[in-house]
Amino acid sequence: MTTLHEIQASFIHDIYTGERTSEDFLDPTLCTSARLDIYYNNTLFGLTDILANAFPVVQKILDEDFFRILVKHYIRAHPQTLGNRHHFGGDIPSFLKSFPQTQKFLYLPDVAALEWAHFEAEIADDAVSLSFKDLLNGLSLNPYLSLKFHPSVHILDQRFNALDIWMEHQKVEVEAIHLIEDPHKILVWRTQDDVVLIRKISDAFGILVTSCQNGESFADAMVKIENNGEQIQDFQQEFSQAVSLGVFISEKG
Amino acid sequence: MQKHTLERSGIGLRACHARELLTTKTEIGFVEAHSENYFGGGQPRKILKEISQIYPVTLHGVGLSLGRADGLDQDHLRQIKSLVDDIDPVFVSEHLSWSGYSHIHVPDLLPVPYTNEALDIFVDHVLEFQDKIDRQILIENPSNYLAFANIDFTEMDFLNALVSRSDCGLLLDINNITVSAHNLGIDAKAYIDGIIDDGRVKQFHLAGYQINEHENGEKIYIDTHGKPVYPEVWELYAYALRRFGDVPTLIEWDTDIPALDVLIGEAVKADNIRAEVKRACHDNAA
Repeated sequence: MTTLHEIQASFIHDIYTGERTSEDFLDPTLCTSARLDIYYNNTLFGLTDILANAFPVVQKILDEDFFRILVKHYIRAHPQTLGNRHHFGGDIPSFLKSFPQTQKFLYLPDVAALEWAHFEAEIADDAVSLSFKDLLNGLSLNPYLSLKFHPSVHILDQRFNALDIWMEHQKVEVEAIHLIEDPHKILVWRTQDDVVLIRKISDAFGILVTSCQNGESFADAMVKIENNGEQIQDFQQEFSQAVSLGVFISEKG
Repeated sequence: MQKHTLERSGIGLRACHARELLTTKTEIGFVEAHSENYFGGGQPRKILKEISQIYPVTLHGVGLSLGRADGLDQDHLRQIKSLVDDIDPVFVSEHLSWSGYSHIHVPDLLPVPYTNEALDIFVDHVLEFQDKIDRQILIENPSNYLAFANIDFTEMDFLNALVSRSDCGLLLDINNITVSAHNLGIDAKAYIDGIIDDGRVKQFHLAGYQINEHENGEKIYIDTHGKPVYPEVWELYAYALRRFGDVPTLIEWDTDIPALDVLIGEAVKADNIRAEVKRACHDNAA
């Protein structure tokens, strides 16, 4: 007797490979191969749709037909792993680096990483932002307070000016962009008004980010920034803007 | 006071209609949201909350994979619970299907073999789901494109047993019954007659299908949710209303989405049929 485990393992295998191992379990009076194709096609269509929604600029750059070919290869290498479709597509930036036909588009992984961060930021969990008042109160109570990022925050290491490319592709008529190799960090997050913002961040802010990610205190991060010889005045302005735009969250949130 | 009630038919909530639903007066009874579209936070979740202040909302899941052999995804369950707590829906529903196994998923509803083993697993998962969200769920009958060779139940008997053992309700998708009847060569009315009539059917779905002709000349009906409801589905709907009484009804339209007015027009058609059947039943009783 075939178990449900065996049937499901076989079905999933067929859908992702196009093979027909599960025909053995099916009613042979129906034309099973053509009917199994329905699930294969639905999966291909569904996952392509998910990726097209998450990566509209990548699709625009590659054109729709080539994007579909790319997706077909991606799906085989990286099947959907969760029922929550919002998590499908996170490996596209690294896949673009390794896929032979996209390797020549050196900037594309950066654009894809930006799109993925934007997509994830839009639907990240809500949280209460840290206000200046909260920050001051927190620091007065605990000088070694650590800052926490809003769940929507993504920090990206970019090699090229992908943000310029991404912005240009928001237009209907896209003009040529001069490609610049300029390694930098980018911050992507959603504000309290549910607007996703993207900002290039300074080296000083990058130090703060790394410190926060390592669980270090705000005070320790400030010492590191000063020791690194960064312009503290510029950092202050950047930091206060980040606080007012909801990059950090309150402990209450 | 909320003027929308389940006595009027509802429509599936699509992102492109959300703002219009919030700003214009409509004649629909309720809206149904796909649960997974509102996981997380941000604008989509806020809009759904706003909509739930105006319309009764039902939550319809497509990704929990209740029929999977290897246990439910606990994070997925947690997300649904959070959404249910937030929105307080009228009904929470899922499908008689599976879509994930051993860390691999598909964005589709895959068929369950109607065996004793599958029933035991499905019952356990429905009980776990209901326990998690602390309310009854509804299970929707699938669209079938193929059938399994060695089974212990018909689909109707599987559903009847599931309801008896887990105390869940049923969401009968009339379009799915039509599609399955064509694809598997079964009698759609006999299907409806095979479902026990004891108040377990809590909601109907109506939608449009598409007919694909294969190379061998075989016609397969596909549940695309991309067309108006077909006359034979309306007819079967009236038949179901006569059997199960007046049941909240929803129009699904998920691909090639038309203007909101078109969807509302379909919901009004459903209302008219409900009224007609009610009147006829009343006249017969008198």
